[in-house]
Amino acid sequence: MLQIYILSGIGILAMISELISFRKWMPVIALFGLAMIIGTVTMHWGVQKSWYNNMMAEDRFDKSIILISSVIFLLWIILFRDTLRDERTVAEYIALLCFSVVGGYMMVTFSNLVMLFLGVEILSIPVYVLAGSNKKSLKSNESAFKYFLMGAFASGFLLFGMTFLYGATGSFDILSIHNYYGSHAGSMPFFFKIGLIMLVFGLGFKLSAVPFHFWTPDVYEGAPNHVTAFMATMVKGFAAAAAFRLFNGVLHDVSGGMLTVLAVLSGLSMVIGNTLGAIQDNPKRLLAYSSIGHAGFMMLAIYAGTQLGAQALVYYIASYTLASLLALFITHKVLIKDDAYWSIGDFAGLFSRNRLLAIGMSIALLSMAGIPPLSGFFAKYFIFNLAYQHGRLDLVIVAIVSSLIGVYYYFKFISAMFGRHADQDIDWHILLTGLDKAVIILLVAMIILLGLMPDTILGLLA
Amino acid sequence: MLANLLILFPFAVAALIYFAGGRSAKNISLAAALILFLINVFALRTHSADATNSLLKSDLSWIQSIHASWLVSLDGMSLFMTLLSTLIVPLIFMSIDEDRYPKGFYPLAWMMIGAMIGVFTAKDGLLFYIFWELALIPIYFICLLWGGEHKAKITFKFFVYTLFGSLFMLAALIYLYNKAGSWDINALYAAGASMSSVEQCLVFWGLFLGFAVKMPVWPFHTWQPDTYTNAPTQATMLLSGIMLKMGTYGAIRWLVPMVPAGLSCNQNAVMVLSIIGIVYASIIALTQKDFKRMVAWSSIGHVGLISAGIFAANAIGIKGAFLQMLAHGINVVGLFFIIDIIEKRLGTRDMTLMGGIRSVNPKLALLFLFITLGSVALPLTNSFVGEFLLLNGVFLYNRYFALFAGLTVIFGAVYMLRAYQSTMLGESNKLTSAFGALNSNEKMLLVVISILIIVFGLFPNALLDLIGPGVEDILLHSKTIIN
Repeated sequence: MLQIYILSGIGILAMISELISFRKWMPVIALFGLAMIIGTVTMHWGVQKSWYNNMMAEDRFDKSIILISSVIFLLWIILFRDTLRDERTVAEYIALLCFSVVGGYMMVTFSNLVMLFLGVEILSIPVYVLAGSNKKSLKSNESAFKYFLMGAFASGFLLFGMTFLYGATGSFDILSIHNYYGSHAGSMPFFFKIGLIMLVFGLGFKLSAVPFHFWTPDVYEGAPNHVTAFMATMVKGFAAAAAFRLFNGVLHDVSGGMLTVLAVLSGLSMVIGNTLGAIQDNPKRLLAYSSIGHAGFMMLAIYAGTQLGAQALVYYIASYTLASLLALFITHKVLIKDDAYWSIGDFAGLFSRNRLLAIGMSIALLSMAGIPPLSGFFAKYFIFNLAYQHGRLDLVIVAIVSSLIGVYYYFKFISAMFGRHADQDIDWHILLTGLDKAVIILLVAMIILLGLMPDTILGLLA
Repeated sequence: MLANLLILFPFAVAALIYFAGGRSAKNISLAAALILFLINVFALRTHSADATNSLLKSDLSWIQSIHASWLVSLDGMSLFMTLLSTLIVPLIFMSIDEDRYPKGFYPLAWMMIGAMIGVFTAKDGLLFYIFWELALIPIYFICLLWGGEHKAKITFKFFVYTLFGSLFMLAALIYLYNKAGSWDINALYAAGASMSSVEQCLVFWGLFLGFAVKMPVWPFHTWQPDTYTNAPTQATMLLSGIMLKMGTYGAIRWLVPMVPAGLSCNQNAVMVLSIIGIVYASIIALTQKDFKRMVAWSSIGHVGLISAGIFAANAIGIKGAFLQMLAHGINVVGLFFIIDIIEKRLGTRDMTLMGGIRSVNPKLALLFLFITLGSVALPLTNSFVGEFLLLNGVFLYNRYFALFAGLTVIFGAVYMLRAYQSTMLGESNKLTSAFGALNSNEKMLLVVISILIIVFGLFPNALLDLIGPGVEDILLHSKTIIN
């Protein structure tokens, strides 16, 4: 809760800073605020408390997500500080980003559907604007427009679903819905399940799970690189965590068919995300499809629910967001030409152009591909294990095959970086400051250390 | 402690060379490889004095939430495998010319060596799998950075193919883990034996795929000839000399005793696959003109026989498999080194263009003869004992299988002697008449290999004693059919 206050405060401060000119200090203030958030979260780790008439409730799950996302957001600001240099826009950027993350915090702390909806909207609306923030670019505009239209549509579903749930149970409170269902399981009206399915649709859109993924490649491609990185890490993590919180609270007692919906969506996302990823040549589109595939893995944890599912999901989010941030930052550094036709060929010979970038990118991609001992391996391992424990051998096979397809396209990058020569006519040197290098090394170290000691993350929830 | 040292020492060397190596990377590597070998000799002595010495084992808690631990130990079979690795590693580093590779090669090679020793010593399923995959990454980059033509495509196929097998292995291991509730190898054995026979069959194929792709057993071999041919010489040596043995060792330790019922219902099938591989690969080896490619194919044939011996699941076959792993490791490194020597001087590996090297360079011809005779399993050379035991093991399982498996001896003699004949014997031609002399480094390495070939041929007994108890234990597990 405190974290929401701090970040909202920074957002408001950023808007005020437009009037009294200290806007160029806003990124630093935001970093300071995030450090405070990380500090307060760890200090109040054991506290379990509910707020505003049980509209929001804190527990270890949301604290873990807040912790991870704050670290990622902090690193994001440091890595992409160049895009925040422009004095005319910096305050707006910081305000939008902070508000968006506040929405994310609300999404993971909600215990009332109304708060979930508010969180989703507060998260999304700034991102719609951010996606179009490169306003002279046609693609960026298209991206924002598409994201907004589809997002509004998904919000409609979400709201519709909530109304149905309210109609069936007479409450927006997750616990009340759960209890009501427990005592009236036999006599629930048919639209209760319809409501649940609509909630799946609404959150599936935010998570970019198949078949609600159509916006993802276009939006990821069109949005400015730093916004893509923000969406692929922060938005994704929050959406998955919110979906887990919702379905683990409400859905898990609902018999039969409902869980199958999640399982099917999960399988479809893994297969379709990874298969379509395999035929992409544009790095950003490729990473967008890869993120759809990863959404499938996260859905499997949501499908499984329970404490083990929570652990698996938190670990997956940590591992995926770290790797994704690193990969997208390096992509941002490599794809220098704006709006031109990007291809994996731009990565050719990166190893001889800049070793650190090539090694960092390889580590990020190997982790996403699930190669031990990097963190991505354990992320996938926990998911496989969950599927086993739920007796879903079919999903294990699907997960294995789609992982393999994933390896195919991740290794397209690696082959290009190490096995091919760079074009002669490109700008040979990629400039990295000392701070960039330090953050890249830090991210690589985190990916490796999380893989060697997965207990650090799992222990957060224990 | 000693086990940890053997695993971590290579990683430390990798870090050392990465940060400080510079131009002396090769010499540091060679010195470190000799130290590693000495550590292993010390471990062997400790083991022979007292096999239960606590120095040989290490059990540290690692991921408590999933009951995985850092459980490594040097029992007889593991020591045999680490001996094989640490013996071959110095040979490989010795075979490198000064300035052949930039500095980056050495840390990658050392990481791979560390991971392979990890595979050979791990007694925890998850740890085993992690080392298994970890060994793949450095060699992939070595092949990608310093391979020949079409390297991107070929290394890619190699990687995806082996990962394909490993992922099924992982699925099978997770299945076993969920039954056992622990990653400890003995708990996994117990869980495997207690499963229904259908489950055991499925787990068998999952594990088999992982090992079969690595060895490779026909029909999972298609990545191998291209990769071996295309990789730089030292990478080929690492792949064929040590990494291949991860597959055979894995099958002995993690497959045969794991699912007894799964083994007995699939035994015929995998034996047939192995034997088809022997005949098929040997015939293809006969038709090769490229020397390196021929050796690559012959390697599939040899490993087919090892695999047949393992899955015969009797003491003689498995002991033979161990001896043959060592023999094959040494011989194949020798052969690839000979090929490298010839290719450096002639600029080609096409055997039809060669001939008469003996009249120009009789020393090379003599040393090559030792290695050739070792490869064709002449009595008193190292592969004779292994091959004899393997065929004996297969014979005990099924005499008709042994008949076909025995073809490997004949085919092996034909293609090896023909390769020797077409390169070394006859009149020297324009190309070979200018064949340069061996330098001292090359001479020394070939002499060492020739000595090893004879020594292990004459005194295999100490090695058989080393693996004896382990093999008995494996066989005991492989016969405990509960239901």
